[in-house]
Amino acid sequence: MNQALLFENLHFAYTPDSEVLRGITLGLTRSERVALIGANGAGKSTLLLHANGLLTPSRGRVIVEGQALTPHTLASIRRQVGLVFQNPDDQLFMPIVEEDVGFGPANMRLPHEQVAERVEQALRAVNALDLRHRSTHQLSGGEKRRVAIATVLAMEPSIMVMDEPSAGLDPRSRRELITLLGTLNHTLLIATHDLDLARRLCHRTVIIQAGRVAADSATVQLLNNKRLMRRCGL
Amino acid sequence: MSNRLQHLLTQLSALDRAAPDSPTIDPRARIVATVVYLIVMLSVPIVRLSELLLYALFPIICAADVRIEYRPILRQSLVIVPFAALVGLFNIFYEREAVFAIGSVVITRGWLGFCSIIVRAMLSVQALLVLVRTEGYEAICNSLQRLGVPAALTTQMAMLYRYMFVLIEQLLSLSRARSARSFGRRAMPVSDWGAIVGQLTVRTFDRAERISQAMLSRGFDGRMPALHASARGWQWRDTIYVAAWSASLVACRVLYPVERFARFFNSL
Repeated sequence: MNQALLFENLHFAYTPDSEVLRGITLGLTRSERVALIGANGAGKSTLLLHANGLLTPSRGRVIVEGQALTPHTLASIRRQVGLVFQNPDDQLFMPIVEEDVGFGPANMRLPHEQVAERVEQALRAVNALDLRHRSTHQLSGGEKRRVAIATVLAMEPSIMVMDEPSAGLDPRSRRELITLLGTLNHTLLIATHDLDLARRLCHRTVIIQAGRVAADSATVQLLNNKRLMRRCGL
Repeated sequence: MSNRLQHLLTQLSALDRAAPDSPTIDPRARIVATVVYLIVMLSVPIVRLSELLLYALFPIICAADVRIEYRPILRQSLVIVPFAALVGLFNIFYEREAVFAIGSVVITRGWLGFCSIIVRAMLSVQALLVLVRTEGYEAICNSLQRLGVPAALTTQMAMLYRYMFVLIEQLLSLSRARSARSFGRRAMPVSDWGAIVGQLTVRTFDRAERISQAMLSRGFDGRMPALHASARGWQWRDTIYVAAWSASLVACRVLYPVERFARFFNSL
């Protein structure tokens, strides 16, 4: 099967008495765009953090491009799965935009010329080349979001996992973001409360409720099921 | 408080400028020269206060060399004065031996020590500020690593710098939230301070955890990568730069030119 990313019977608990993920199984085929929706605390962000090994499941496994996530495969899987955090201020930790975008490629120990090339390509892809010398502290919300996506694009991952990419954006920045995401050919898993974004970008939507997959279907069909949406706290 | 914090944040951002694309002197040479300066300057005996004034030339010349205005550096170095004064205060009480007198005012060894500590602290801060403003903090960390300083230490230095912004930003947002609901009451009770410091600690841990996750997800393996290609390797002019500064500084330390000049002047 053409699976790019597979979560297999994933269990996880931050504290022993409260399990956040309770046996989630979810697969994404190559170039597929999937929206992950669910009420606050349903386990969406926790699931995303498993995609590139930031959290280790207590049971179950994560398989990326046919490769199970283990301590040995961690480095190579982190190159393949790019994670965009909910708050771009968490993602942008370097003082200057181009340094932040170059951080990933530099960690891959690429030659400096290649790092510079990737930084330029990534910033151009998100239409932020003019921001390259700016301080990351001084960017607007929309600019920060675009640069945060560029930091991941620069690593040339095959899969991109995003946590609430449209949160806190004004309508124009949000529209620009949706257009930008629409141009990406990556396998995309997007956790969001923005149902319109899910409708526009993703053919498939998965609802997570209390750490379990409550529904997995075509986006239009699922979002039109008012009773199901209400039952899942949406 | 919010305004002062915002000002501090802006100042910190301005302090560190990006490393120049094609530096005339290798950052490592400037670091070595600065270290030599600090060792020599700090080794000048306490009673030879007048000699220390000659060492003020180092930050002035280095700043002029890279066209950095010296006056802001001097102003920023005043920040260290209260701390240095606190350290030097004990000298006044414990070292009461008279060294010389100006009219009826007797200058004790303790007073000389007090002034000496303040001048040394200011000169040290000035030399380091000029270095940071010349090369940028990032380049200094990378260069230290290239000079053989363990990666664990240089990575800690780089992290300390980045998290400093995170800490100030968190404090800024907490301070603004408090101001918005304090209805013009400026003084902050101790209980509020306790709550803010507690909140700050928890939030900073939380934020640091998320930043750490962001770094790990982009392949961070505990070593800060070199983000800028070094435009040039070590050259002869770097050797000459280090040698010239080292020779001049050691000569000043050994020959005490200010005292010799004063003696010569008095003999005329």
